[in-house]
Amino acid sequence: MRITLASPVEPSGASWLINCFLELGIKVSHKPVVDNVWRHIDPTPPPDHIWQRAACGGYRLHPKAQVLKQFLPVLSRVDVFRFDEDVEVEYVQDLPGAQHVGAPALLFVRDPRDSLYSMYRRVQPALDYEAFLRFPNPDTLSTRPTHWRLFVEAWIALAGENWFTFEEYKRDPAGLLQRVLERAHIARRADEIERAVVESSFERARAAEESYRTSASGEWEVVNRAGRVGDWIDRSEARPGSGVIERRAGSVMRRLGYDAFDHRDETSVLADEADGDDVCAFSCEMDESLLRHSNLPTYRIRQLLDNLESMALARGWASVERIAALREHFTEGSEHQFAQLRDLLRQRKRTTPQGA
Amino acid sequence: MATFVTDHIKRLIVEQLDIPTPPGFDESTPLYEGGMGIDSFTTVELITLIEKQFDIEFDVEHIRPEHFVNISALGNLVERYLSSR
Repeated sequence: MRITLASPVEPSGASWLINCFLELGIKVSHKPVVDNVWRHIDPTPPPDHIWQRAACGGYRLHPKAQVLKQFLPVLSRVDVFRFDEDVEVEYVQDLPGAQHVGAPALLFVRDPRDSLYSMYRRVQPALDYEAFLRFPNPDTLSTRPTHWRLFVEAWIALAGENWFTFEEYKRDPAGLLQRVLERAHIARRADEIERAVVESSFERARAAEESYRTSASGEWEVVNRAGRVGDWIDRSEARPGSGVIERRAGSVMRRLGYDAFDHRDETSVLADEADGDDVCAFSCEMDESLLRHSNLPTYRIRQLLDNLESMALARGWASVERIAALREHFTEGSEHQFAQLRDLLRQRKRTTPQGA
Repeated sequence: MATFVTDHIKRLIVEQLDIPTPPGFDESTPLYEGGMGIDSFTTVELITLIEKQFDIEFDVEHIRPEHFVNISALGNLVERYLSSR
């Protein structure tokens, strides 16, 4: 049986569940990491490319997928995995495709007022929080809260009642894992579940991340934070943005049980966005500095510019030429890219001691 | 020497960077668009690998598109470093 586990790209606690699955001997494929690490390969390898057959039988983590040790403590504890042959989980952060229709699916979400703010702190863009929320998703060109809403609506349509929340995990991790396994028709003993929860705790994840950061120089991003439920309420920086999130995703949030203010203008806000007015304004205002300040990887900026150009051409926007010029700046192998690369290498030489 | 260097770089790209080769792959295949399709991240990995394997250190000013057009151009640059030792 192949089960899809979906969660938004923003930190939602899904790594905890993935770690539990691996602790329970359930093979998990990781599409986001494969898409990122092997993105220069066409076609991209399947999501289980993170695993290699071990000579002694079982599976070992692919050397190029070591970055996962940052998120999943089991990968630092276990070298060779012997997975259950009856079930396999594929983890995705993409919108569902035709291949997902009719197949078992689980959705793991977190209050977007916390998860989007957590993403903001993780990415550390040189933008204020509201500008970060308005920045279009490279695939859908929607603002971040609208993309979150699209994602959750699309996956709920497939997962039905099989959705689970970060907030429930914080209250009762063992109870949540038990419920997930029941819904997925996976049988495990209570002591196995208890052990999986202990080995997947925040403390274990943080220790594994520290160990990974020591061995992998250059990894600066802290991914395991002790996420609190309702953190956004105590953060003055996050509160205005949370109003924006409620206006664009309030109805879905309420469906998931989150207490979100019922803005009367939610439908009109979404209609304006669907008309492309926000995207058009963004394409006229953006410049290289804004794109770089987003801290998006270069390949994602190129995807954004490709999609913006298609939309601008289709709608006859005046920004077509500006977008094309910016794309040149973000083209691999261009003089502009090499100038960026030289800056990076100079920086690296300054910070790396001689002979290191 | 030229063949040794370009063959070595070819092996680094295919075996260590795990990049699949397009049909007709040789030292004149473009490293970027329309060829191997490598990106900035992979370029940094490649530079690090070459410096380690050939025991050289690139002058940052030599990190320019004309030296990274293809394996042949990169091989010529590496050779200049090796012969100036």
